[in-house]
Amino acid sequence: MTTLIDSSADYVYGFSGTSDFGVANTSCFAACQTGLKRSDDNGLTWYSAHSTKQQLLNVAITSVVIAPDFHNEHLILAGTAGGLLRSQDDGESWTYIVLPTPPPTISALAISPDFTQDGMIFAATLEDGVLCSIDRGNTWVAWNFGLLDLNVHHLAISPTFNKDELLIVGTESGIYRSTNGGRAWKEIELPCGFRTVLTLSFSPTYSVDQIVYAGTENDGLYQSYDCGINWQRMGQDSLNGTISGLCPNADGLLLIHEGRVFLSTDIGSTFQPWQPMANNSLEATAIFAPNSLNAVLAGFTGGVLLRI
Amino acid sequence: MIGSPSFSNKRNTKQTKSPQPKPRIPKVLFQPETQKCFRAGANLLIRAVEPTLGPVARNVAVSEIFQRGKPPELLDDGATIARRIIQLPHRGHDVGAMYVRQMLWSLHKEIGDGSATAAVLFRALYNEGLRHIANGGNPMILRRHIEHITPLLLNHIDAQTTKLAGKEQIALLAETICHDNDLAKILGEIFDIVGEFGRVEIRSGTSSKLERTYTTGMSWKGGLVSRSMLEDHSTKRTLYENSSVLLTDIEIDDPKDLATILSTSLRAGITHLMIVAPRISDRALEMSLMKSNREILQAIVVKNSEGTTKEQQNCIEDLAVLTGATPVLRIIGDKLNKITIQNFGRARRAWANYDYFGIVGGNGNPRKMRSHIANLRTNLLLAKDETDQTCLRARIGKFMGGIATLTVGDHSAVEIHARKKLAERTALAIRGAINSGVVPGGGVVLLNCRKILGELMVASDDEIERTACRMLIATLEAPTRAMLTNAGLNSSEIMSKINMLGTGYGFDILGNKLANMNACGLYDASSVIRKALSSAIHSAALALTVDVIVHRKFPPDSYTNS
Repeated sequence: MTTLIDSSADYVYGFSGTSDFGVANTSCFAACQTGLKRSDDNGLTWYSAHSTKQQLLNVAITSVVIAPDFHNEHLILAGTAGGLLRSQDDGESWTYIVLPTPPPTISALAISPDFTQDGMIFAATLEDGVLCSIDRGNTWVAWNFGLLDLNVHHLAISPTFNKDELLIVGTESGIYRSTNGGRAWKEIELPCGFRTVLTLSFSPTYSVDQIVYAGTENDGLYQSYDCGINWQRMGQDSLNGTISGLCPNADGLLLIHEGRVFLSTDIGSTFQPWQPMANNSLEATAIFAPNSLNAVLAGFTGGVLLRI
Repeated sequence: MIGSPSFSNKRNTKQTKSPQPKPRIPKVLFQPETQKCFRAGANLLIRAVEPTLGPVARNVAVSEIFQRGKPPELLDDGATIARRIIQLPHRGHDVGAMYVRQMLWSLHKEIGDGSATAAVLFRALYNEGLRHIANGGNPMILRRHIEHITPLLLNHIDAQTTKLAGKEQIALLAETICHDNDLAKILGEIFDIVGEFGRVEIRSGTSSKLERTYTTGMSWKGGLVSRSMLEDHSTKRTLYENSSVLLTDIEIDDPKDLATILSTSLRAGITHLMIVAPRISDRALEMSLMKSNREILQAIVVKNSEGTTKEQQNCIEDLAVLTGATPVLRIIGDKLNKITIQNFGRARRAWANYDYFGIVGGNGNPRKMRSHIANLRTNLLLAKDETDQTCLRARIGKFMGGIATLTVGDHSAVEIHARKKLAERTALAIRGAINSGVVPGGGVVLLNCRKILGELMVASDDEIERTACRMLIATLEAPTRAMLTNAGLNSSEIMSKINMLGTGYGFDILGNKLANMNACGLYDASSVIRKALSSAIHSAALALTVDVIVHRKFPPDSYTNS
């Protein structure tokens, strides 16, 4: 089923939702140019996530993340061009978090899977590398040791972060990897050289297969079978060009290639246009389907949100 | 004959109490005294070092030499223990001891570890050699054969070398060096991050814990040319955000040149500017400090004080890559009054104090920066000169983003000092291991080398060469035997079991079992084993050729003066 949800926003940067998205009737969020959107019915209906008490409606939200245990800890963090918004009461009230000056643009947010215990959140920035908070998002400091390129486009956190402390970032000049929870970074060589990496994602069965995916700006999709150390090109000629979104789940790997949504059901070896969106003429900008293909959220230019 | 005149001098000195220097009375020893004394001295020193070999190494307490009443030093590093033995009472023994001491200290300075292994190897080979000489063998011919075989052994060690990768493997190696689990883990993490080139500072702490911090940003020697440019007096530094950077190796003498720089900056819409120059004249400085100028453009001038001219050029080159600036260079005919907007680089933050200046978040092309670092690494591999290597390491280390600082704590000041020294030594050995790789630990890499000696022995027609092979086979077993003995185990029994299991197997002393060293993750640094073996063999072969000892009674002036 394809449903046009909202067309008021003009650009969708990303989504965030609970781990049981699509399984139970839960909340999810969309980071849009015109503010943060929220749905409490798995993406069927959307409304502004900001309380009417605070005039934050026109702030562009570039990324959003919620606490893994959102049912009990109602923490929402939204990245903007120049700062961070934080709500710990399910979006009732928001505080503006002061970041190290000059204020950077937040390109991605990642929260520790073991957030209840460690309280760690990471923010990728377009100018200042990676910022880390160890106090549930209240204060932030730059953790950039060894990160030669501070133009970070995406950041992915290992599902087994409490054991391996693994973080991977995609930057203007390639991939960097941290095995000590972001304290220090090590450059990783891609077969294509120093290419821009726009998106990264861990396999849903990462603890077993140790697979990580990386989408590049001009060079298609890369896959690592060893926790992000060595990488190899996937999809070959069918995926030349920009990979701007990745979403692996139990049913396969969804990705956005040159604005169109593709699906692979063989761990990235072959890709076909994903049928539910095959006839869609809009350019996809973000995709979210953490569990299966039964519930997929897609964002498009022009601010269209689709729930499939 | 040699001693007579000196003796009379000494007597005169005692009678008149004149400030004449103490006389040196040489003592000359001939065979068989030479070998007997040399051996006794060398063995004595090696006996002091030997307990520090292996995973259950013991400490050696050394009393303070110059300050009485201070507690003794507790040492577990063979080279430092040897270093503390300044002189033996018997002159002949002293020569042997000092010979080994020098070998161990050189090894320690170069690679930071392996001194106990080298000492044990030296003793085994020297004693075997003496036996051959006592049976009528010629030490010179024996030495030639031993030194001819040594490259074969070193090549075989190279063949067993594998790359060190990951913090777990580095930590395992560190533990074999320092036998301190916590320290090994933290060093494993640090070196996994900073790699061979990264800057690691090891400091004494005040708590009982080990702590590590990673400080980001690149900094260079130099600093503000005037106190008037200091803007934050509490932190004693000036920090500009979103600053432009101008780099030059031309001295700013003429205020007109500075005026050109400032007016070009204003045209480019620059509000904050850092100028890196070798010097600025007083007249130009006055102009830069004029209030009317500073109201429209915040500018600081920092002096590039990196050591030599070449280092200053390197600094400018690195800053250019980092900030995306085009430096104004004398060598290509640039002039300060002809600069353009393209000469300016950008940085998220530029800071300076009186001694240093630095950049955080340069706006240079990150791809160019990574290529530049790759080039520096290649140059390092090709560099032969030690100064060039040090300089390149420092440059790469700066690009890696900062300094890793390990703060070493423990329960008392003495323990902190000892642990800090241990950390420094381990860090040096890890650097070498990352560069050269690792080999199976527990002496197994040396035991594996016996195979090629056995093959050579069978193939050789030369009796002395066969003897050299036999001696070296016994020598290569010595470190494993010493480790087993140090652990209170029966070395002969376990050695026979190891021999039965074959290549790659050794004894895991902490696990108290026979095991494949690679499978257990027990490693030694290849560079350490290589250098220890090479030093021990060459030193022992040379020591065997000593026929006469000439020794003086008093220690050198450097010791008596201090």
